Amino acid sequence: MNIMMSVLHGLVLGGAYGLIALGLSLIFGVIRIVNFAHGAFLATSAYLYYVLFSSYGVDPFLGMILVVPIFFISGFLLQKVLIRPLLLRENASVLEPTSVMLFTIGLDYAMANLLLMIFTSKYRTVNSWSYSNYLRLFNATFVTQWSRVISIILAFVVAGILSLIMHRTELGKRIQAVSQNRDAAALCGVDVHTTYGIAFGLGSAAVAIAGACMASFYLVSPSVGNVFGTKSFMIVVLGGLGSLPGALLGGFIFGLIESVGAQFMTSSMANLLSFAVFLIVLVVKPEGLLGKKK
Amino acid sequence: MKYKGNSIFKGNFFLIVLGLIFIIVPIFLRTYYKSVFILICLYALTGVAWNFICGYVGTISLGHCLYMGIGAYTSTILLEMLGVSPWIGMFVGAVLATVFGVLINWVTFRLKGPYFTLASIALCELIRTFVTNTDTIGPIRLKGGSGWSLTQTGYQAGLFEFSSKLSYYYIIFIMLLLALLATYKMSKSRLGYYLVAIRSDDDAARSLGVNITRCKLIAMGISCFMISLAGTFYAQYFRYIGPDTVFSHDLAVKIALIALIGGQGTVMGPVVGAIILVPLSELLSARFASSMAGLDLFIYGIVMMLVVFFMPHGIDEHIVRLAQKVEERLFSSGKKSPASDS
Repeated sequence: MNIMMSVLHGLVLGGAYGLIALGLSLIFGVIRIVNFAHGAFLATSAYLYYVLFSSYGVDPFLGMILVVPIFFISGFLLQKVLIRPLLLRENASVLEPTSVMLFTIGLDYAMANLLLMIFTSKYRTVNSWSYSNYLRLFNATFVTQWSRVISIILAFVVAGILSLIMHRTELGKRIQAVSQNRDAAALCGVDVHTTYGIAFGLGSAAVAIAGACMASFYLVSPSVGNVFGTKSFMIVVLGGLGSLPGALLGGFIFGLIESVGAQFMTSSMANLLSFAVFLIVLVVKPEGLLGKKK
Repeated sequence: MKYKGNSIFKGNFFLIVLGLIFIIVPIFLRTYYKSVFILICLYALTGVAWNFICGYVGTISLGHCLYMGIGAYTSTILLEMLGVSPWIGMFVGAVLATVFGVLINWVTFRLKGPYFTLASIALCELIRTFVTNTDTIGPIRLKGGSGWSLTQTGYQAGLFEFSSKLSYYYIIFIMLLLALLATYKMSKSRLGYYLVAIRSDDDAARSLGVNITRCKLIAMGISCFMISLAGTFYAQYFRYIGPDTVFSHDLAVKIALIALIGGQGTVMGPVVGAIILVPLSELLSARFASSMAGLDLFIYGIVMMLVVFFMPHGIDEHIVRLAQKVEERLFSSGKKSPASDS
């Protein structure tokens, strides 16, 4: 019975992990930009929701109306203004350019420590309705915050929307074209850097949605970026680069490992299991669980 | 350094001046500034070790403090449990870190670019989590998350404890010099040329008969050896080690950023990086530490972005160029004047 419950909890946690990894799956998995600032984006959005909630009483899920567009625009601008010159220096067929990776490592540190300087390392909570109200199932043997339920639903919704964009629209085709070869796409008349910018914006908007969920079920602190950022990368690689369903699958696997593992050992030791699984998959099946073979 | 001037120092004038400053100046400084010099040398040493494999081959590891931690833990456990002097323990730790590093990276070197980076982060996090949650492995005490505070030995030099900061300083300075010498020798050797070939195009290097994995593993082994010596020094100097200090992600990134900002794949790059970044972050965090935690890493991040943008090969290159110009001015006039006299 305990195992059943921990499986359920694992799935709920996994949904949140999957949602957090979706934005990165688009940016790293599809357009192949190694965005190490993913975690800092997440933490920044969480703080925006915290400020909105604590100063104006806006529920994070309502605040998305404001924050998600802001993140779309900042992602677009970041790509257009700062990452574009770096990409132009690289050979068109180079996937995952190192200079961009180094740039985002710097950006991550700058953003995360700016948050630390502004908000200090104090843990804060967004005590909204969905944080403090619980869903009770099976005679209250399974209890979970409503925010976690909402994040699972949102995970599937966001994955669905992004998949539709990628596979059913002109924009999706353009994004896939530039991710394979920038010059070849440009020769076919694709505005490469606007396409990159839109894809980066979409990824950042997805991060902002994940931030709303995370702010309402977890603590808000500058270190959340580090915790979830690294895990997101592992989830994306585990699920398979370029595969949006893979990111959800990877999230569920991580959630299950940590939650079921916590039945047999301390929960921080269970974290070790997910790192180990990631390393094993990386070495044995580098293309990930749902990824296409190169 | 490609210098074609006529000076008697053959382009190494500023290096010699820098060396003399590092030997002489700390003697006259207050204790606090001595400790800044110690930190510069310590971080420069870690950067040099990182650069030895990651800089020359171009594979970015963000988990290199793993090997530093292995060195620190090995020598500390040997000292505290068996009374083995850290002078011996540091080499035991270094051998252990080398063996571990070579075995692990024999597997992870198959991964390229960001996948190698992610694997290095995951490995370091894995070990950190393991150490945090483990008090003992068999007879060996790890002390879990609380870490080891080293017992005072009463300033015995044989046990690596000194009363004056200056002794620590000269030890780390000599270690740094040896590491720089090793890097210089490597860069002029067949191994160095192979590594640079691998960095520019590994497939081409392989097709010319370079055994890529072997070369990388040799460099990784030497790198692990050097950084684990730095780990022992870290343990002895700070007299405390714990999973959140020696295995922390922040330390790993700091090491990488120092080498990257200074200039990866150059002998002096990491030293330049440490000379610029360490005093900056030390002085700033000493001044604003209470009000603004995180200021030092914020600056590391900003500097990193600027360097990637404006100096993709690191600051070292620009400083060398500037130094050569100044040096030419200084010495070419001195050479010309006797010629004009006669």
